[in-house]
Amino acid sequence: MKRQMGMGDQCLYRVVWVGAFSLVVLGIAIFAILFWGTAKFVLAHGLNQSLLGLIYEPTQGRFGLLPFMAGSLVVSGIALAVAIPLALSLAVTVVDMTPRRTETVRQILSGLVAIPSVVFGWWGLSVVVPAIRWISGHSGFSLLAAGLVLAVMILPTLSLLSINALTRVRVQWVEGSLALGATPDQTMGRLILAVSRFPLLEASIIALGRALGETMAVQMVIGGRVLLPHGLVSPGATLTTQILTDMSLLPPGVSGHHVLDFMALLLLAAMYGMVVLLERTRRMSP
Amino acid sequence: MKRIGIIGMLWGLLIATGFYPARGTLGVLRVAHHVSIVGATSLMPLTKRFVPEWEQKHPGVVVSIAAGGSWAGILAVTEGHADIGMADLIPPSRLAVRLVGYPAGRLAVAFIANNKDGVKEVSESQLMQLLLGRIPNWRSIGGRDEPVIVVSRPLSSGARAMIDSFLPPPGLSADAIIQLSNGAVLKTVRDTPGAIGYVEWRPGMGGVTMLGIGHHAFDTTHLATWPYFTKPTFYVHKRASDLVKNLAQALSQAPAKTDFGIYRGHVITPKGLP
Repeated sequence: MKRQMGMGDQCLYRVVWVGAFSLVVLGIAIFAILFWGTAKFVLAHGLNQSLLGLIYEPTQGRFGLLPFMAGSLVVSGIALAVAIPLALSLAVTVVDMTPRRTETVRQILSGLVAIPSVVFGWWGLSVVVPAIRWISGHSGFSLLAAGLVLAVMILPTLSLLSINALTRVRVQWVEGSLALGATPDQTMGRLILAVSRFPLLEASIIALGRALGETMAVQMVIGGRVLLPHGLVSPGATLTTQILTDMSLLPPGVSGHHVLDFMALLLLAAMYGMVVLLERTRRMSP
Repeated sequence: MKRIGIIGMLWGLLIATGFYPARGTLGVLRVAHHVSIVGATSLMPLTKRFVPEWEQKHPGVVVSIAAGGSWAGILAVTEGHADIGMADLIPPSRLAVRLVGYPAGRLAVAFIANNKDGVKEVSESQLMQLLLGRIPNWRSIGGRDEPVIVVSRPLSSGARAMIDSFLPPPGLSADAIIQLSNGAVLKTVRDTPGAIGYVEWRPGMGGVTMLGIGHHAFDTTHLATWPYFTKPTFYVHKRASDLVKNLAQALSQAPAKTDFGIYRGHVITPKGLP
């Protein structure tokens, strides 16, 4: 039965409803502005030359975005390749070997999640870049540096989500497995990790989303080179860092400004792809 | 429902705060004038130091300051999005006709190298070859066996515009590392063996080798004879109010500008800028 609301409640209900609705409108408006700018850009410069172009010289009218797309993919890939094994190791250690300290570890990780990204960037500048410089003999500003900084940045989130995923497995199943003669390692590998594969995948997608969208920490250590990177230790740029760099060069009204809309739309599309993937993973999850 | 009520009350309180007729920032709706300044990061420290003093002399006027680069500053004023544009590059003539500039003086552009590079001066031709990326190792010009790493500012920077104006095509090395601010360039060059870059000099910059170019040594006590500089200027629209023009003029003549490396130059042949 629908509950009767008083006049004041009805009024407040409408205010809240308008607030929620305006969020949807805002989202659509952002998409529409980016789409409109992208359409103008593509009509003026062509799609293939931008998506597959290797030369980015905005003042000369050349807008090849492939180096930045490659940069974004490589940096995010390095971050996930480093962070996933570490986060999983931490989660398994905490859940399997020190279950009494799970809460303490969760609290510590929650604290680490709250660290602003610029702090990770500064750490990268002071530690990661010199380390790569020392090992490789190059400048140190590189895709590898950006990937490692991102890996450390997403590690707390990924670890926290992984611990949550592993602790969701029913105790009865674990006890049953052990009672049937499986060793703790077999129980971990064939039961707990197998059952948690979808939540773990979900955690990885969330972490990938954060890695792909990060700007400041990456900008501080990546080097900002606008050519296609020829190795992991060479400088590069990502879609987010190039938007940041060129915002002041290409403000609204300047020829070529809409390339920023295009880059932002590409990021939005990638993020939306992640959300769709996340929803599908959730549906597949038992 | 109780929760919705609490949220509603909080929103109401927040909105009411905006209308509260107090002095200072809370009473923003009562402010008579708002002046916005956008542009070059090199002029930000001077502007930030000077504006509070000016605001005290002009009650009811609130000034907002935002970085964004020289180019963004010029465009913001031309398009009417900001009142004052800070810039250390000369606007193109199609925009310049709509602007009035209040020049602050000159800002020396120093060429800096890592202390381990082993070179203290280069010829003008060598400098150009270094920045173009055509000299790959410091050893070939008498320095240590270190690969040359060029560190630069982005295209929107006034200092970068000065550098680009005297380099032949294809311009600055495509392999250059891009840093968004003077400070970031300085730190990168200081920490990276083999690095060379350029900064708009201000007192306190150290830990790097200030390169002498040709027969010019970079002497901070005789900056007026240094041939590489930008011309930091505060631009306003021709139709700007007297208040805005007053602020721009006051900024350009602020006594504190020498603390930030801005000096009055003598007539010499500049490199790059007309």
